[in-house]
Amino acid sequence: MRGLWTALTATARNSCQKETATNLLRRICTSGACQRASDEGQVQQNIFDRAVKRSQRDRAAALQAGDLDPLTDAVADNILDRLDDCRPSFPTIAVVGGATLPILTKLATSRHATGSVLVLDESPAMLRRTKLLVEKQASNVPWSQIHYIEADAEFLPLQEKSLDAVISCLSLHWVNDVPGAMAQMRRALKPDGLFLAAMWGGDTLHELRVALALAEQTLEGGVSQRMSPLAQVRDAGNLLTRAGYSIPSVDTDDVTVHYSSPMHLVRHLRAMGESNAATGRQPRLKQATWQAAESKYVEMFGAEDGSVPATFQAIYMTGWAPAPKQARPAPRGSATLSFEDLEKTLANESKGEAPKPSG
Amino acid sequence: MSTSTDESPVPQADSFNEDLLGFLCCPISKSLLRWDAAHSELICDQLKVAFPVVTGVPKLVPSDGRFLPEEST
Repeated sequence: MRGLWTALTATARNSCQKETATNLLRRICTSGACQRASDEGQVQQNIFDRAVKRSQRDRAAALQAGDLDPLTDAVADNILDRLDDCRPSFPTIAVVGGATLPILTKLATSRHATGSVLVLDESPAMLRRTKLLVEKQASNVPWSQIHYIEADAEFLPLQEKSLDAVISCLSLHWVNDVPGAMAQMRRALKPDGLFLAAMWGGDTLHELRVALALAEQTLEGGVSQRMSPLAQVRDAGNLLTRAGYSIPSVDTDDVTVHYSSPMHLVRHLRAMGESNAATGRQPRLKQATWQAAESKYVEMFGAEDGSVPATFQAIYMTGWAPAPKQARPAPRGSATLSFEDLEKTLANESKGEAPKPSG
Repeated sequence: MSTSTDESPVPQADSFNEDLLGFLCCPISKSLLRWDAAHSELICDQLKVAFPVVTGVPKLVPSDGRFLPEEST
């Protein structure tokens, strides 16, 4: 076992890019396949338990009702709006799970449904559900080929320069190594290929976070990691540049959803597969603590009509795989006019157009 | 990854579409995969790891792979 592992990591180190080798090491360390890793000081702390996330998404597939979820539906709409703003068609598209179903049903009716589409999800149950519903909704699937692949976003099994677009809808916020995953997606893109992603970030569910923290503080004398950490909006731009995308752009969209009670919110989160999967989480929440959190939530954030609002902040990221003929900023110092001249010209023009009566 | 060698999946009715080989690679080494129709597996020759294909769906999550025994390659 030891020999095999050493050979494996050595091959990975030599043959693939640095981030993948690091990922591999981390995977092997955390899966307990080989304890040697920790002796060599290679252990990196994972933020999220990917195996737990996988089973949560399996559970979510069973919990989801037949209809599309309005929240993920809205996010998918926003992502595909950005796709429509771009060039005429993307023959090969990969959809990396999260919410693959709303993306696929909308993509099927768009002009981009021409070539092949690859659906990647770590959860087999979610993949089966997506397959079933896509086949049901679009009796004649518009793509010439649609493939379903069980894959982890941290370890994308996609060949270099094989795709025209990668869409990641609400999956990146559960990835331990976000820049690594985004770099793998960039590598899978052809030059000038498009990367589109949405993830929950920033202020998402801040009401629930506050209510749980207060309840725990009061009843248990301390705060534990009840909610998974999320990326902030200011990080998103850096992530795109770090992963090597050109023309990066980031924007956010705040959605407030009103629930009848905090428990309804939790059920919705479960059905979306968005339950806490942080490695440092406490396995269970005491009933008394949850009841205290519920009443805090209603007391602090409850609306007049008796509903409880929950904020969801979607961060949208767009980037392009670098290509030689892409639009890019001119190199520093290459300008032929100075801003001072421009300012003078503009000032003169405005004077000429609208001279003051007194002058 | 399991090291057991005796649990090769039975080939399923839903067959694997070999066009996918144009898109897929090993999730860890990023080298090309080889399709083994007899065992319904995708094999990374570089790492000597096999990933199962069940009802036409490749299972390429690293923990689903298995090490191939040394002599069979």
